[in-house]
Amino acid sequence: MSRFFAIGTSHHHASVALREQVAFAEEEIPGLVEKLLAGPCKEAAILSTCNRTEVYFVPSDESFTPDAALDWLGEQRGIAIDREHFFALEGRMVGRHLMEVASSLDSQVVGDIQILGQVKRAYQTAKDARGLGPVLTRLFEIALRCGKRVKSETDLFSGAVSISYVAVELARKIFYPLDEQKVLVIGAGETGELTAVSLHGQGVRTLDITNRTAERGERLRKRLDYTNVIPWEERGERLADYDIVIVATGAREYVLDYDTISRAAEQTTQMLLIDLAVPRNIDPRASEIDNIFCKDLNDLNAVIAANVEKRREEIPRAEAIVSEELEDFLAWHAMAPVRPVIAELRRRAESIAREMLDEHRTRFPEDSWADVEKLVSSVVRKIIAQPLAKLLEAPKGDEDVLDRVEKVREVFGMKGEG
Amino acid sequence: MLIGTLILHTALIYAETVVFGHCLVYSPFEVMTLIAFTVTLTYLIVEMVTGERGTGFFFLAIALLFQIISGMFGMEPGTTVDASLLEDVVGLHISAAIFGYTAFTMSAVWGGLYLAQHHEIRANRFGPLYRRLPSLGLLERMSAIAVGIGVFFLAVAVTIAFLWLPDVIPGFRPDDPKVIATITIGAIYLLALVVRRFTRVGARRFIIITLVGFTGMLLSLTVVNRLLSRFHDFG
Repeated sequence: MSRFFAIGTSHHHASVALREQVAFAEEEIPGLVEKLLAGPCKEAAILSTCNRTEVYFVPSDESFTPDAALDWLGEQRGIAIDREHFFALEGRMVGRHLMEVASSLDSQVVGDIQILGQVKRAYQTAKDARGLGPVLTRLFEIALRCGKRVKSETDLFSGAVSISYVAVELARKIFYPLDEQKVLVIGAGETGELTAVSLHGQGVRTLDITNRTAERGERLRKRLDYTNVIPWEERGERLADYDIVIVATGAREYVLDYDTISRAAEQTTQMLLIDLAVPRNIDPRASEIDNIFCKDLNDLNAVIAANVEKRREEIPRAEAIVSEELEDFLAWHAMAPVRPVIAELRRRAESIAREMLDEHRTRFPEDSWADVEKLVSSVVRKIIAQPLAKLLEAPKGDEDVLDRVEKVREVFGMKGEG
Repeated sequence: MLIGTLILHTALIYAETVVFGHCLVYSPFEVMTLIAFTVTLTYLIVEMVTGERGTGFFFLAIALLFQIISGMFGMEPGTTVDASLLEDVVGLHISAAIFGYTAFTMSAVWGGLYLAQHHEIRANRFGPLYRRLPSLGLLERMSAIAVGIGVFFLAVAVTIAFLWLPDVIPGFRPDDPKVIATITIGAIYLLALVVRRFTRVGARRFIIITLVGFTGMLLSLTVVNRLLSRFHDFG
């Protein structure tokens, strides 16, 4: 039975600085997998994201223990590995870990949908580099299935948990259809940019930017080539042109005061103002205006708290799915030594039948030959059906599957083979 | 599938109308089949226009319940009915009014959900109601479509009433409180649509106007019908 391991580090064990040191770029991974295959491993896969770097492997050389693998990882990165900040797992724990990773139970933000795609990419990269044998193929396939099940059967992935996504989610709860709304982003900082990108991702087509420093606004416009820049001075008089306004500047005062918003409110049916700045950039009295929804960071954090709580409630259901899938994988793995014996038994039986048929070919009329072949094949299948079923039975108590395999080899004269 | 169900339902209504010899407006159980039909039709139109299926289970379950009750307790062929109800125009008038009122009721359900969602967002309550309900814009649109359907059918009912009912119902009076109430309700809903289309009055105010119309409709069907109307009684 092939032993399999996983080593690595993640946000649970290491600081961002250390994670950055051991992280691999996507294009490096195929070469590293090939290096492992050319050396001590018969199967290998690497998962590297901003939160984790993990190596999954089935050693061909028994001296390549998890400890040796950690040293190998350090060599690749040119650093000394401090064991305190890394993990090493074997067998069942590897399976559980990868399934928890794929279903985002191990993520920094539980329910982070990105991880499922990242595991899928790691699987594909390893497959392309011929790093996947039977064990890791099965492990990754079941882990991916597990992640998909958690996604479809629980609400673990539902509800946004980052400010920019929450802002978009809120806009979607107010406007329909969202893609027809006009958006103004006031401030060319990172938060405003992230929100603009999220809104564009939701199909919003009219996205304008304004910034106190025109050059900075222009730089953002160049990065987000689907946006337009409007002059800073015109933000008030043009406010009513927009359905959604996101404000995220470093200003210490209001960039949208109550009077400006009141005037705009009279010219529009409904408007959402989102203030992502600290200190606030929108006069909070705007939320008293009947057709204005005005939300600041506190309000959005309340959405995040509600979504995080909702996700937390889903964890037991997700864990139950992980346990189910893990048992499925372990049952498959426990039966791994049986499969070559089954194949060999079938091959032998079919080969004997073929020899006998060829020997007696002339004793049967031509028109009934096909029936004879079918009959013999059916008899052979029935004879080996019982031993095959016994082989495939789940192990009972402390029974070792290898003992069972040995018995079958002995009975069918397959000693020393396989 | 929903379209197929509606076609079958149309065939059933037609067959029952032929067998019973009158439109299905005589008993509450007959009316239930028309309500089930309108709920399904209105929901189908709304779903086709908006693509939203979130409230489908609720409405289709109601339609199914009404149809099952109607099927279980409906009239036997040959039962005698008020003579005026045997007139086709009367049947069409009542059927159109039922269609209209059912659509207004659906509009009120979406309107109520709109106000609930609006309240949740303004109060920063982002719990299960906020998560499960569709967006404000969508709820308002679904409500507006149902209002449009309701106004159309009510207009048909009122037109039939003024053109043909005086000939078949001897006591018909255009100044009857029931007639006035019905026209007023239609006018309120029409006003809501006009305001929505041509002014900057926000969605919330549109919803409130429709809910005023709905309250008027409930009063018309209860207080006005029972206490004030002089000829809308066929019991």
